[in-house]
Amino acid sequence: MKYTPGPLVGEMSGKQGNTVASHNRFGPYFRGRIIPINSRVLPQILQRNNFSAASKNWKLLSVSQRAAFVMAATSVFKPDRLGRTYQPTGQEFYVATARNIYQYDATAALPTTVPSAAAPVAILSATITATSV
Amino acid sequence: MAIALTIAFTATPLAAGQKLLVEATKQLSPGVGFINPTWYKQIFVGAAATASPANVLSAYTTRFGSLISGKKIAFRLTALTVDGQRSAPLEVVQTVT
Repeated sequence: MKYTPGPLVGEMSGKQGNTVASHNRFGPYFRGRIIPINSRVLPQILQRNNFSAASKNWKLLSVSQRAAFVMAATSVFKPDRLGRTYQPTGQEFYVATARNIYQYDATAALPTTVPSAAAPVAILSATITATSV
Repeated sequence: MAIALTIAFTATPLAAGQKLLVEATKQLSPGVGFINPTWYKQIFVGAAATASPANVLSAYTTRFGSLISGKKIAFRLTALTVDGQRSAPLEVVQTVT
């Protein structure tokens, strides 16, 4: 069901009860909620285990280590689902950093210090060759 | 022609210690225009200071099966650092020939 954002009801995202607010190229709309598929494939399980380990490790950091991540997170800006920017919490920044480290090296130790280097430069261009025969 | 799936990228090689992270979607109908961010799955992480081109054929077929002519695949390329930083992603869509 489509709707037009107005003064009382603006942009919406997420669910309330069994109704989900979403948007696509044709504008915002409501739809019924369906239970997401939980495929439990190996990559999904690994990602969830990594997320869990990082989240638990946050509680084991010292007060000063956590404060450093909280401070570092204040300089990070991310887009939310509606395209607005927000600043992650220190814990969110820590888990995101740990996830990147796991992707870099699945056997690496979890971080205890804030990343020191600047974020790397993005890939400038890519040409892909995909042939099936 | 032979079966191939390679990614030539710049700048190459990546800076010392940086790795190329490749995420890809399953093979999509050529009419699909919107790529849902949740469709991207990690398929490949290169060696430190990854050099172009990256051969991701075996990594892709292990995850999503053999390439099918006419299908479309979206790729998302990111540079990773050892201390957990990642670059802004570059998204590229390619049709299998």
